[in-house]
Amino acid sequence: MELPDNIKAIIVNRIRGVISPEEEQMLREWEREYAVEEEALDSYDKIWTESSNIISQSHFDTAKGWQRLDQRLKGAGMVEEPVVRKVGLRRYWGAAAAAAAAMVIIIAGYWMFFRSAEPQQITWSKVVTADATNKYLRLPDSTLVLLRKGATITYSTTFGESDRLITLTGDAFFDVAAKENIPFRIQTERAMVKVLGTSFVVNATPGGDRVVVVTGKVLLTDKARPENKCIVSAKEQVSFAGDSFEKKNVNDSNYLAWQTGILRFTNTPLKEVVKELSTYYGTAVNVNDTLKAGSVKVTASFREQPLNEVLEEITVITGLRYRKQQDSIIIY
Amino acid sequence: MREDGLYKQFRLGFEKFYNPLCLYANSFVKEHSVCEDIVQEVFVRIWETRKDLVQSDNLRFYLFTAVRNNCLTHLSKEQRMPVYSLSDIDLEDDDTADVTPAGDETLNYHALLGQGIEQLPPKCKEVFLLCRLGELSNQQVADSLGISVKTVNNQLWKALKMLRAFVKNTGVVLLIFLWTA
Repeated sequence: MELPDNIKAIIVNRIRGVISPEEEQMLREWEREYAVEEEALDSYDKIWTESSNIISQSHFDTAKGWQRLDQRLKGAGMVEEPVVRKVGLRRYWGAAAAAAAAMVIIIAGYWMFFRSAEPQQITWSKVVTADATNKYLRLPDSTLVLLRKGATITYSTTFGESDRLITLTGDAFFDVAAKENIPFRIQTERAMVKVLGTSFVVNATPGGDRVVVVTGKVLLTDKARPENKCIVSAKEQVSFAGDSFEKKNVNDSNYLAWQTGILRFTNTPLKEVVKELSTYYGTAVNVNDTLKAGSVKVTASFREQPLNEVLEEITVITGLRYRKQQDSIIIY
Repeated sequence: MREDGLYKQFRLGFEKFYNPLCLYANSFVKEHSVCEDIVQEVFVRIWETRKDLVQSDNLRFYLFTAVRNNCLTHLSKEQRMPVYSLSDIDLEDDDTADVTPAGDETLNYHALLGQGIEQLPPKCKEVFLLCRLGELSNQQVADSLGISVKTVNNQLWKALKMLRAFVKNTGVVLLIFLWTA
């Protein structure tokens, strides 16, 4: 026998705790009249009550979740904090910027937590992620790290004792404390980066590794073939996609744009400009294939401007136009 | 209220709803870490743009609705089919999912009920979970899912009926009756 709709609704309401006295009465009368199985209503109650326990059986770590959220909001300056801390933070940023100006090495590429190759007896216990904004931290050896939004580094509890080894995903700036007998190394999926100089920036985007060195020196080693090495010196950049190292000179500082907010182009081919824009804004910007893109050059600089402003300016300079496609932008 | 007081309240809200919201997200998205990310994002956005919600009665409603939408967005970004969509809900739908208990007689009530919930038809399951995890009113569930209160009631009823049949371990007979009803 199927229950009438109004009775169904009343039973649901009863379980939800929103049953009215009239409905309660109707239900009782209906129960008497049709002599429903006595335990029926109780069994619904039981299902309702017990299901709550069952659904909540698997647990997500609320404390950890809060810690992450708290750090993220505070890191982004969205929660008021004691004044002392703010001052300290600003000073650090100043220091980081100064260091960046003085001696910087950039490494770009797809740095992954190393999964394959040599399993190591290391406890990767410290994990730091920059969720919402760039984030500054100091490692136990007093090395400065500036993580770009989205970047994560891990290092062991014994970091600094006999080795200084970290893993990185995303982009980061490092000002490495000098410790001659303890090398500073960054392990990636494809390569091992060994710091020969004193400071550098690691910047990572999917699709091939790129190392840019402003000052100092970095040793890059192919993980698959350790004999495959490359020393990168000041004002050089090296691309590495897993086979060979491709070296060329660097003459702009746009690889630091995520940190400085400044993009500067000097007679730069449009093709390269859009590449930088895509990386910086995280939106694919393309040039229409039919354009002789190589012949269009751009000289301009932008400081923390929204993408549409930048595009406006570029189109004004070049006499081209742009339009939004689904999730990319095309200049034509 | 002063900012730090509000932040404390925000934290209480987080602690209260984090687990239920993650569990709710988990009914759409399999990966636990993604569920956690989605819930994080929702809280960040509330603090960034809708601080007023922290003290509002609508917080619960907003949270569950936002988590749901973000899960669906995530799934569509991943180019995966959502587990299901409620927008095209049909009251007399063909929920032909096979809700049959496993043969193991030793399964206790809890295990059985848990299994039953897992096996509820998708639409039915979502309404049930939203009511149960979110403790939203029928009106709120209806608003959140963009369906009518009547549908919420019907789906809830269906869930109860199926679960009851399921835990009674005589599911097959009753379910046949249920589907033909």
